[in-house]
Amino acid sequence: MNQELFEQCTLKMLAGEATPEEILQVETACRQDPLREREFQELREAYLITRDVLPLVSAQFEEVPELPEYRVGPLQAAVRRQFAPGKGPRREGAWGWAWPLGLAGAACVLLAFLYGPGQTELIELAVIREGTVRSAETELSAKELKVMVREFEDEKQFEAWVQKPLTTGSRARIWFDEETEVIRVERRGDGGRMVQKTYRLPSSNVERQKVLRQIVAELNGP
Amino acid sequence: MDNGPELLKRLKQGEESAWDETFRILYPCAFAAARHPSVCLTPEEAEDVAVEALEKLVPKVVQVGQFDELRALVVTIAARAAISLRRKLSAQKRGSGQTLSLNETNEEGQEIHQPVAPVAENLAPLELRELSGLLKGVLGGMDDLTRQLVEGNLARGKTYRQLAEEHAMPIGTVGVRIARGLKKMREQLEKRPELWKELRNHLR
Repeated sequence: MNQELFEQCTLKMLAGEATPEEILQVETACRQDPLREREFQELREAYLITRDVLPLVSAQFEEVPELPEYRVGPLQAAVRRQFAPGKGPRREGAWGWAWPLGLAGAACVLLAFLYGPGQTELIELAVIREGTVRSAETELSAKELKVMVREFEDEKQFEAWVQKPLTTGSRARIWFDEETEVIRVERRGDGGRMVQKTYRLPSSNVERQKVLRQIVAELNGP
Repeated sequence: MDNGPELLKRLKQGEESAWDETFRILYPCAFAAARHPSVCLTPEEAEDVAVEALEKLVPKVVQVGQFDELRALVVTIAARAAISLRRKLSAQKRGSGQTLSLNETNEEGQEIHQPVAPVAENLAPLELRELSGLLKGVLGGMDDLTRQLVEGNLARGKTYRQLAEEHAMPIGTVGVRIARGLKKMREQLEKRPELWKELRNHLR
C-alpha cells in the first residue's frame, strides 16, 4: 500500500466514509508495519483534535444569525437576577424594576389579586423572591393600595399558581409580565366568565405604581 | 460597536444596555458552537442551547479580564451544553432513560462508550484562545485549496464526496490534501508541549 493510498484510506476511515475493503487495507498495513501504525495514530489524533476544535475557533467570530427578539426578555431577566440589589452593582436602565414593598430580588412578575369589595384587604400582591436583602425603595405601599403581599420562592411556583383558576372569593388578578412588557389583568366577568386585558408595562417604578393604582381603582369600580 | 474595556466595565456594573449589546454580539458565537458538526443539533435545539449559554455567562463576567475572553467562554459553555443535550436526546431516543455516551457499536452490536466530541467537551476557554491563534496560523500557511478542504470537512462537517464534487477532484485527492493539512497542524501543536499534552488527555 503506497503512501498516498494509505493517507486516502486512513482519512476516509476517520471520517466514517471508508468502505470495508479500505478499512481492511489500513488495518493490514498497520499490523504489518509499526511505522504505518504510528502514522495512523498520529493522523487520528490530529484529525480528532482538529475536528473538535476548528468549529469552535470559527464560532468565536460568527456574526449571524441574529438573536431572536423573543429571546431577549429571559436574558434580561438573568441579568436582573444577577445584579439585583444586594447581589452586586447595578445601574438603573430602561427595563429595570426595583421591587415594591421593600422586597429585594430580580423577579420578573408582580402579581396582584383583587378580592371582592367590602373586604378589608382587597388586593394581594405577590412577588417571586430571589434575594433576602431588603431594598430601601418602597414607592408602592401595601397600605396605600390595600394589598396583601404574597411571595413565591421561584418562577416555577408562580407559574404553577397562575395556571390555576381564580380561587373562590377573588374576582381578579393582575401581574406584571416583564418578558412581554405588559400588565396582565384577569378578572371574572358577567356570568363568572374569565376576561383578560393587557396594559403596556411602563419602565419606571413611578409609572408602574400609577398604572397599578388606576387598574385597581377601575376594578374596584365607582 | 464598543468591544473593549469600557464595555466590559459596564457589563460588570450590570448595565442593561451593555448586556443587550453583548448578547447580540455573542449569540451568533454561542449558536455556532451549539451547531458543532459532530453534535448534530437542529437549529431550534441550538437556539435553546445558545440562550442557555448566554444566561450562564452572566455570573461569570466578573472572572473575565478582557471582553474577547467572553467569546471563548460562551463558545465552550455552549459546546458542552450542546453535547450534554445530544446525549440526553440520544438516550431518550433509545427509550432507555439513561444518559449514555454517543456513537457506535462494536462487532457484537454492543455500544462502545465513545464520547461524541471529547476535546470540544473538555476544552477550557484559555486553551481555545491559544488554539485559535495557532490554528489560524497553520491554516493561513496552507495553499487555498488545502485550507478550503480542511475547513470544509473539519469545521463545517462536509463529507469527502461533497468536497470532491465542489472542487471537481477525486475523493482520494481530498483525503490526501486533508491528511497533509493535518500533519502540519500536528507539527505546530507539538511545538506547544503543554497544550499538546492537554489536548491528548482530552482524547482519552
